[in-house]
Amino acid sequence: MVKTFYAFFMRILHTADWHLGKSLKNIDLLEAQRHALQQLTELIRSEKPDVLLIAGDIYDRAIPPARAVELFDEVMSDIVLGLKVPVVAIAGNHDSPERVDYFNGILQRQGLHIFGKPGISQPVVLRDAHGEVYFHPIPYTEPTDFRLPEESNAFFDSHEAVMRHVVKNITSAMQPNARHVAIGHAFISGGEGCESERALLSVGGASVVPEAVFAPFHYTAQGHLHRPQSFLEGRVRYSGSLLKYSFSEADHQKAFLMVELKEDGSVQTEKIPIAHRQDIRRVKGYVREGVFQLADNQAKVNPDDLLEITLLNEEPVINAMEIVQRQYAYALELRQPNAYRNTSESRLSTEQIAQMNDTEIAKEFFLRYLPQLDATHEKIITQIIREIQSEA
Amino acid sequence: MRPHFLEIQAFGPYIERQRIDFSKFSGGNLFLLHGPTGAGKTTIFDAMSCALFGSSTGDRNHKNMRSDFAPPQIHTLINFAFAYRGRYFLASYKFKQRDSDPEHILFSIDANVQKLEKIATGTRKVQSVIKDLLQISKDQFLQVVVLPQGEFQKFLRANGATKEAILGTIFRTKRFDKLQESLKNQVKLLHISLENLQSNFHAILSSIKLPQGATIASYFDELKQKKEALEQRLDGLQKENDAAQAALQQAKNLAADFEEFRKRQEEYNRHESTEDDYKQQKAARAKAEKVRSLAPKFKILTDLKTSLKKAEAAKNTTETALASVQEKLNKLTAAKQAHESLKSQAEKARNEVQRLTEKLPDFENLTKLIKQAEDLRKKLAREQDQERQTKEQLTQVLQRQNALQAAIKAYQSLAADIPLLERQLTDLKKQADDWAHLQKEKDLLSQLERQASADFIAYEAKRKDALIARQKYDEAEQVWRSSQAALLAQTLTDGAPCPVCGSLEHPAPAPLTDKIISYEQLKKLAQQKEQAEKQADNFREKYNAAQIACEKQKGICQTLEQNLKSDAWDETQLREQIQLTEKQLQQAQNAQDLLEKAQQTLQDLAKQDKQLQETAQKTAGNLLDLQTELSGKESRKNLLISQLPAEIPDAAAARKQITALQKEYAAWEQEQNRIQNEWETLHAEKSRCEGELKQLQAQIAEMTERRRQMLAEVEQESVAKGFTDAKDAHEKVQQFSETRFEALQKAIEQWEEKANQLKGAFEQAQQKIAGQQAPDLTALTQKAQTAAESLSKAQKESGTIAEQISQLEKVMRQLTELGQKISEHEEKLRPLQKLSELAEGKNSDKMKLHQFVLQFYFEQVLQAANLRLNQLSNGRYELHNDITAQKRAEIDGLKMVIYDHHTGTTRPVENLSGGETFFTSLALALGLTDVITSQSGGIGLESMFIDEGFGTLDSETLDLAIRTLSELEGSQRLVGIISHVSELKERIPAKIEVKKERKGSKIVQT
Repeated sequence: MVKTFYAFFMRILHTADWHLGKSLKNIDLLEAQRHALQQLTELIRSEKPDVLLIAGDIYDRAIPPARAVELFDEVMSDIVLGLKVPVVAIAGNHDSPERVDYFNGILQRQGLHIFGKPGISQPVVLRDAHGEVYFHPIPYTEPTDFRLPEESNAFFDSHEAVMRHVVKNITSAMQPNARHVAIGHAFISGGEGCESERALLSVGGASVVPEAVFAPFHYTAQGHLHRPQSFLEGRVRYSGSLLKYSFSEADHQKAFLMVELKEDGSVQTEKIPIAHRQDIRRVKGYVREGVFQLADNQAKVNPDDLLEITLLNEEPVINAMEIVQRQYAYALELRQPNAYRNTSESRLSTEQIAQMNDTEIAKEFFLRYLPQLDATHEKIITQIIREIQSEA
Repeated sequence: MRPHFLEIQAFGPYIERQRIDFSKFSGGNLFLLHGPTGAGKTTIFDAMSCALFGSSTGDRNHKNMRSDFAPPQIHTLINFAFAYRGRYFLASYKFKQRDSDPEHILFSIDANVQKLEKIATGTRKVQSVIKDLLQISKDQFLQVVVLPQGEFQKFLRANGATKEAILGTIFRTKRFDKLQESLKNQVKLLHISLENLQSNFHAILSSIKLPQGATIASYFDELKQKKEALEQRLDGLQKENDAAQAALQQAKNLAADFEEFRKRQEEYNRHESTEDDYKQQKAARAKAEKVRSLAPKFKILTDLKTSLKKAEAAKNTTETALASVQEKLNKLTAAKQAHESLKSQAEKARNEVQRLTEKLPDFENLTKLIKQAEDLRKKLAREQDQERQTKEQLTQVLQRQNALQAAIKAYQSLAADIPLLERQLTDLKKQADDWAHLQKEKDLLSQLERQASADFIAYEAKRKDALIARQKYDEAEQVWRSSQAALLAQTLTDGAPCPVCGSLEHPAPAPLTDKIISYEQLKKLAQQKEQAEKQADNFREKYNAAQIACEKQKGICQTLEQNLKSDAWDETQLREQIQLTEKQLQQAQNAQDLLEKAQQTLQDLAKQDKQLQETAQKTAGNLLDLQTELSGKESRKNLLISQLPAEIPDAAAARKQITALQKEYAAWEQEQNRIQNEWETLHAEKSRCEGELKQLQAQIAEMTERRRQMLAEVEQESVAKGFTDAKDAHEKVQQFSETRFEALQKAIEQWEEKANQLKGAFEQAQQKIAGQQAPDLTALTQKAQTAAESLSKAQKESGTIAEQISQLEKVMRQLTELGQKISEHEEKLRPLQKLSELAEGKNSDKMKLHQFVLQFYFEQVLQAANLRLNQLSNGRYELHNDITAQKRAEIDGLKMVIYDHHTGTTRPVENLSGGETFFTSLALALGLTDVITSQSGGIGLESMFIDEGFGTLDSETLDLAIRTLSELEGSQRLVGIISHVSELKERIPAKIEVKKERKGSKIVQT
């Protein structure tokens, strides 16, 4: 008989939103993702956590490119088979529930637990010195897709309703003395989003879920929001995405979360920063005499960084992108806001236009050519327009 | 326009009736229409277009749109319901066969009563109503609402004129054309009226005839001087004329006086000639006066005769009345006697009333007594009930007391066990603790023992190691020694003493063997040995220590075991026993609680018992009091009954009897009074009649005497006045007429009066002409006429000059007014002309007003589009109005270019790639609807359908496009996307799926 040694407390590594196979402005990010995932494997090798949680959006799209699937396979083989650390993962809104679920039966036996299909799944149970810890997967579910076999008439119009229902079902069968961890993929109300997240779908109902829904769990590993953030005194957390996936995330510090689950169910978390192979940055500068220069207050730029450039030149810079790319091959976006600012003659907003009556529009015309409209002019215009309107 | 639902049947690939419920996506939504190519996605737009405009998107006519596979009996049918500005409409289009004419009807729907009302029939009518309603044509519908394949980008790439037409219709810029036109017209009208005024001015000016070399002003002055001179001459002429006229008038008056005198004289003479008639009338009057004087006496005689007749009649009446009164009196006397005989009975009744009235209080007392006795009896019954109840309660209390005392005894015996049980429980718990302690210690012991045996094994191993090390060392030492000996032996020579033993003989010198060991090796082995031994010692010590610990622990265990009672339970039994004891203790404690409660209840019962006893005593006392009172009342009642008349039972009956008797007496008294009154009345009447009769007789006698005297007097007077006798006189008097007499009198007086009057007038006229001669009128008349003629001639001349002056003044006034009007017109025309010229494009930009307005809206559309485009192109592209390209006036409408931030240049929109063109068109379409919907008077574009184009987008741009469209969800717009791109299926929750089946396509809505 093999004697089992239990850890003094459970150590959980929490990550989410890998978006494998994503590209940014046609730049393939797979190598950058591999680079980040190598850091993950090393971290697991050195820290030996008890479990790895992936809270959804493993792939960027429902049908991921083959290379992305291969990368996932490599990483999982290293972690689950090589390092013998079990993994619990769920599908996010970018994943295809069915595809992520493939071979689930076989994989679970190897310690890789991936949950794709909506509904209530059996929890994954692990132990430490103080007893059992239940991991409850809550894969991303569209309200319209959510049906319960025994309540086929039930219809949920909002994410909140679905989540409340699922959590209620989980809590009703919960072991009262054990510790419980949920893995979810939801937009918690009050959370801060960014450009690279895809809005959650709902027909009519709200797409946000209040943090209080997750109160029954000692810890909830959330995915979906790409900025690391926490709720309920740190008991509900977003680890954030694996990498910066849009320029709006330029100032994010991406990280893995190491969570220590204590005997009493309290948690202590540590952020382990992820280094980018190529940083994603927003940069301001000028083109002078055919050369791009950074603005004075800008930090130094690595030539391999992916850049969004804002040119501060007052005049349009011809072939600006070409010039910048000579110095920075990965300049992906470029704007010249100052150069075009004055070209539009429009001084009025759509709302202001909507408020304008015909007289005002006509005045707008005449004022272009007359220094001012005196009372006689105004009277003439107003009177004619009144006549025209009364004819209509 | 917001679609409500669409029904299609036998149209395109649809055979059976299919329905799409757009209202399911209400509240501003994005939905996806998807399905395989050829399933009929675009047909849905064809159907909408057909229902609204009578032809499909590609201008196919209805014949081709009928489904090839539809059985002949099925109609081709499209029902399209939509809402526009809060009103609901249903456009219905159907036809039977390819060659039959379609039936095209537009209904308005009353949403409240679900009633349809036809508002247009026939494609042409429907088209025009729809156009008025939605304010867009079919083409524009396809460019801004439904954006079918290919058509979608038309607006982006449409030529300037087309864009102008679309924007012009959508924003109704015609009204600015009208403004422009109206300005132009006003200017034209003002010009015309100004010219009129000017020509009037000149016409008037030329119409005035002036003397040679004179101006209007000098002519005016000349006329004025002339007028003054003439006025002076007129004054003199007037005076002359007045004098002549006065003289003529005087002469005319005198001639009239002469004529008057002649007339009066003639009148007077004519009257005097009628004097004879007057005299005859006077004689007739004297005769009539005599007849008249006799008339009063005859009147008196006639009156006397009448009065006598009347008195006789009154006398007869009075005599009859007297007889009737006497008869009545006789009858009353008889009645009076009869009534007297009833008097004694009436008085008896009055006495009885008095007697009964005195007895009334006694009757009332009796009634009161009876009632009091009744009340007392009831009270008595209640008290008896109370007594019975109290007795019953007392019995119950006694029973409960007995029961409680028994229970208390039982509880006491149970409660007495508490201390014992508590001791037992403590004891048991201690045992359990001890036991647990022992178990722990035993666990420790076994752990120690395991440790000890492990230590022993380790020690044994080490010991073995030490033994081996020692053996090795011993062997090595042996070898070393032998080798040392052998080496020594080498040095031995016979005879020489052995350095060891001193023997001089060396019979057996130690041989040299090949086993040689160095001293260092030996030393090393010795160290190893020592080390092994030391280790063995250490382990032995450790083992010994473990053993000692074991022993010590064993001792502890033994002590603990001994301390446990010899009959100690095992743990389970102990637990059970504890539970049992706890339960017993609980029971005993419960009994204790119950005991206290029972004792309390007992005390309460005793209190209750005492109260009940008191109540019983009080009730008995009450009963005695009541019975005594009752018997007293009864005896007083009986006494009263014996004293009162037996035929009258109570006070009420007595009162009734009194009333009856009082009535009887009153009736008698009343009759008595009546008889007495009548008696007196009749006596008075009798004496009155007797008095009257006497008076009448006297009157008759007196009148007869007076008549006789009067007759004699009349006879005498008649003869005296010349009548034959009284009879003759009486006849004459009767013939006399007062009217005739008065007429006669009046005629006489009139004649006299007229004679006097005529005489006076004649004399007056005579006096007026006294000493005068008749005048000569002809000469005087001639003179006056001449004077008048010269005056009138001068006046006429003056009038002509005044006329000339006033005319001249009028013309001058007209000219002034016209001049003022002309300058006013010129003042008015100036700004109008300026505005009109500007509006017509006479300005620095050569831009006409309507062009400006189009540009203006166009720029707003571009601005709104750029908000989307900025997002869709990651800030790369901006749409701009291409105003720099050409002079505005020469642009054939509206043009746009795209600014590329990456290249810093502009380029025509035609140069965009497929995907770029798609999202730029999308941004433009969204911008257009943004501006339209924000216009208060604009067209209501609450829906938008985009057919395909998503296939041209790479996945990132697709994300952006979907994000942009999703953001529209907040607005009230319904956005339909038509695509076969499967990725969209997973991104848009609201879906309409078109399925291709063998029996025609099907629509499935989720």
